[in-house]
Amino acid sequence: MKFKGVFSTVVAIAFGFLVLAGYLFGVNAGGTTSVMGQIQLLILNLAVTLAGFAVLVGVSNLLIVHTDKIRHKQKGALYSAILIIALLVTFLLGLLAHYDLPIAKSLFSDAFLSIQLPIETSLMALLVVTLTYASIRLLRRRMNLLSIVFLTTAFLIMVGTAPWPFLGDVPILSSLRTWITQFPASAGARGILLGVALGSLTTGLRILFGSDRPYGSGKNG
Amino acid sequence: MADVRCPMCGKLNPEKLEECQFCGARLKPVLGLPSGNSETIKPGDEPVKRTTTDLEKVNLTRGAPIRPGEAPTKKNTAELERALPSWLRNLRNTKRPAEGESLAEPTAEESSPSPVASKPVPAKDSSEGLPDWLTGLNQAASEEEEVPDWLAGMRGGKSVESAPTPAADEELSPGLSNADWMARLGGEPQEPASQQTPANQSAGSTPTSTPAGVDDTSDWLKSFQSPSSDAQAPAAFGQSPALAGVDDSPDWLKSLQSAPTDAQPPAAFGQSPAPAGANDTPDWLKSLQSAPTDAQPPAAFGQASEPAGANDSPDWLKSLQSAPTDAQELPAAPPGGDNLPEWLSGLPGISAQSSPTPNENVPAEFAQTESMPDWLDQFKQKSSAPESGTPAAGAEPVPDWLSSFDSAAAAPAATSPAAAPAENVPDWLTNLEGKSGPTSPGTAESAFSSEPQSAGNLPSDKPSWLSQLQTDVSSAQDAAQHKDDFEVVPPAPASSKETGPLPDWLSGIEPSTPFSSNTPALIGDNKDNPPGEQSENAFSMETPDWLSKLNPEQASEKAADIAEGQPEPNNLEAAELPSWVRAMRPVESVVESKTALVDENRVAEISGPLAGLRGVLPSEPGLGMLRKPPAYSTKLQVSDGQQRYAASLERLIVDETDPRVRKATSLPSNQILRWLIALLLILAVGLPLISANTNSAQITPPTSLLPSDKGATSQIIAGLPANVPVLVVFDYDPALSGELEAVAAPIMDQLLFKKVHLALISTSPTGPILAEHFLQTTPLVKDYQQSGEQYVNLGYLAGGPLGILYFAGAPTQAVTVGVNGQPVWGTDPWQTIQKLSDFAAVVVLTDNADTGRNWIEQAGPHLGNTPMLMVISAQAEPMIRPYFDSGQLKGLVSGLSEAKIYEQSNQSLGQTHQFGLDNQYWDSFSVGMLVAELIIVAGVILGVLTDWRARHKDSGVEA
Repeated sequence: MKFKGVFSTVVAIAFGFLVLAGYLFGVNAGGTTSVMGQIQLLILNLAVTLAGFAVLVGVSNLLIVHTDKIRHKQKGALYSAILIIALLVTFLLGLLAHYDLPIAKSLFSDAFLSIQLPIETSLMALLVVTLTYASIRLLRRRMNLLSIVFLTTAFLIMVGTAPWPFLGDVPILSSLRTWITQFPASAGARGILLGVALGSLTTGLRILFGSDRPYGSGKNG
Repeated sequence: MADVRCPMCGKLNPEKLEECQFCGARLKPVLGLPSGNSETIKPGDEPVKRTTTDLEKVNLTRGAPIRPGEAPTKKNTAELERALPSWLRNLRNTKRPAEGESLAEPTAEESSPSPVASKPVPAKDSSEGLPDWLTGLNQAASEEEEVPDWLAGMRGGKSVESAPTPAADEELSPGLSNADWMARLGGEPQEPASQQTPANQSAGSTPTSTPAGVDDTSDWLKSFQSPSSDAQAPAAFGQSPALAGVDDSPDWLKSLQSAPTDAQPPAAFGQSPAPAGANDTPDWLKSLQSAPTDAQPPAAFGQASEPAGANDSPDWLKSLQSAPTDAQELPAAPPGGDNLPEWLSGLPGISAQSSPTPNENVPAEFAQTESMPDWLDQFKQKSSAPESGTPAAGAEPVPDWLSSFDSAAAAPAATSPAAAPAENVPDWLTNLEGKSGPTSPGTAESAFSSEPQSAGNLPSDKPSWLSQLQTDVSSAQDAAQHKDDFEVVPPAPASSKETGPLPDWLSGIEPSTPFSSNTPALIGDNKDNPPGEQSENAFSMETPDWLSKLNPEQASEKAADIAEGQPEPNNLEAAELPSWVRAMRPVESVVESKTALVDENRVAEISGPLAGLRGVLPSEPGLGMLRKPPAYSTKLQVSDGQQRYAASLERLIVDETDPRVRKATSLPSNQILRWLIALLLILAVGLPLISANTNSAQITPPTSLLPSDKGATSQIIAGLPANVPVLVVFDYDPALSGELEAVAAPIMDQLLFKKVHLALISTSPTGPILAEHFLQTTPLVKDYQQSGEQYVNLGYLAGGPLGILYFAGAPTQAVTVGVNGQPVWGTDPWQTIQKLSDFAAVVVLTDNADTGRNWIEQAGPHLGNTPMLMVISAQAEPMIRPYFDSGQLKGLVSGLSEAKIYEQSNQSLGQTHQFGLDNQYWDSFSVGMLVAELIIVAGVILGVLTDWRARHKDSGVEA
């Protein structure tokens, strides 16, 4: 193991134990934040700043990639150009809006509400059509028990979720939908959540004990 | 009243008579049975006169041997005659005619012996000169040890070994041993034996011998000695070493000897009436006895014997009788004729010579006569020897009847060196020889001097028992002859003096004993028999039939064959093997050759645990013969059937491995269907929305359902005091902003209606704008803003869970300025906010379960008593509801349906807000959901049918 690996491992384990200590000893008896809480918050601040900067790095990477595509005149360079332009415009409007430039605020909000919000909402609307169409073709494509169960469950939830036009709620279907969402679906979801929690705990312990070093020069790094 | 049979003539006489009225023989014994009968005679004891009459009454028990020292018992030899084997009797009967020949031949051969016994005669094979029946005597003597018990018992029960040979010459002539009985007849002198010279000292002038076996002398002989205590007569007998201690005489002969003990002394010898045992006298002897008595007077013994013998007597007896014919000139009565036994006196010759003729003149004539037998010459010599050289001879206890011999033969015996060998020869035999050789002078010296050699040369072919039996029989026969001899011989010494009365034994001698006199022929024939046969048959009492049927001629032929060395027995055995015996032979004997060949090739183990087994281990080193291994073809030998099977299998495998091109089940593009579905859905959603905006009638009636959280969210919000900070988290995406805005509208209306201070924050970059957009589109925002209340848009909280944690721990540190760049926490009511729990409520609007979980997990520990409410999309309900059920969430509103319910409950907000956005979306939502459901159902049914038809069509085509 190289020194780099050891250093990064020591740093990772140290910060890990500090954050953990902040969870346990972050609050004093008077309800004020303890030293360990302060250290935890400091580390968390660094992490949040690093995460915000990482978003900026990501936007910069997106800009570079698409710029390269325009520069290299690759396929979809036009879309890349639009993307880069929209990015830059939005970035500027956002900077301007931050400084209370009214036009900038309006443009920036409209741009979002006019472009991004409808687009994403439309895409979600298309999802309805796609799901419906997929449901129709499901049994024709894979006629098996799971397909039937899946399709039947979705149908029952749909029927039970929305009241029938002119008929209103169908109590049996509403109760059936509530029973499905609160018991079987909730049971499955709890299992998944428990698994996720155990996995997160195990991963955290492995990182704390140096068994798993996702930050490089480690077993998985 | 019983009659008494004359022992001599065998005729019955009245009991009161003491002498036979026919022959004059004494019928009653002179001597009585002494009391000490069982006492043994010791050396030096004086002979005791005993009466043998009682012995005659003793029944001869067949097979009961007489032990040494026992008193002699009378034995009926007639019974013995019957006890003889049939073959022997047959042989005797058949041999009788030849007996005369056998007796005559040696006499012819030995016609020129030296008449004087003083010269030693060279040894001569007795087997040559002696007749056949005499040769058996020699052999019997040499093989006495092999005498069977029954025969030994008959002979007195004494073993031959107990009879020491007085002579130094160990090869005692059997003739001597057989003649012992006769020697005992003369009363074996005991003391003289020690005084006389042994037989091997025959060169000496003293013909004395040493009778070693004095104890062996039978009682009867001792009793015989008692009357002859005068040492005159026994001198001649005492000089005979053969007489010493040999008790080989058979029992029958003992009985024969015992009988005269009761008989009259030799005084009646010449007159010899029938002895007491005349009843047992065989016929031939009877005839022999009767012949002279009836036909001739005693004086005509020699002449009278011929007609007698011509009638009934056997040939050998005829020869015996013929012998005296040559000596008819001899004095009729020997000097010792008075001492002769009565039965001897009964013989014609004896009776003829003894009674009418004076004894004194006979010796002279007898000695000068050439026809006189040799033994008479010996007697002369012997009788002369004591007179010259052995003065004590007359003192020896010689029987009275023998004393006459001594007196008669004293002079010639003194000068005869051959007297010693002659002493070994029984006197009677010497007489026989002398008689048998009519031309020969009958030199006993020559005859008996050769006996030792002849004994050694005697063939031992004959069985011992047979030889012994022959010997006994011959001895008995010779006894009869001896009587004749004595009748003939006595003239020389006996004539010179009176010997007194005859010994008792002579009166008791029964003439019946010599019945077996016919055996010599057999003896002579069987002398060449191999000894093996003797030993095999020695102890067999019952003679086999073949032996009983064997004629002397056959025996002689067989003996001749054996002598020539012909392997006849083997041939006979193979030829005479019966078929059934051959059939019983084991199979191995037949297949022996084959198995032998096989076994020869296999090696038999000689050691180890496999010892004795054959062929279990290889005989060669290694595993066997080294040879080139056979070449096997590496090509697989497959039959036609196997090839067909292999081809079929190969085809099956190829078919399986070939990729089967599945026919693509390409569905139609369904682009129209997609459009149709989209159109239907748009219409279903659009039309109600249009109608709702036009305030037309509700297509879908209000829901009657209750919220899933049972109104907790509404109650919490309703319970919030005014002007309290409430943190509203806008963490949903623009795609789901339509749903969430519809769901969150009634809750936000209520919050805004409560006049709480809203702090907007989002962990999504689009969250702050959506938050602004939501608030701007809410109808109550204007009213809210108009009242001077401002909400604070804290912007975007970077870092995800870390940001939430950080914000939860230090909201003022995590977010210092709002979206507009203005510090948030410095103005009133936000100054009181130091931590998350300072918010009166935290309402999280999210369509993502993970985002909602992050808020719950990261901010939950920092909330304190601040309730966290969560308004979520319907898709996130399954994941967030567990937190609500666990209490981490105080209220949960999910989906449009519950928002509709919540909106319906905001009756205090006004009809606009009561039938707000949710009401507008409610119909569209209901119709659109129904249409979607119908499309799915219809589409599934149609799709299944279509696919079924397609598969059915495909199956029909494939079929």
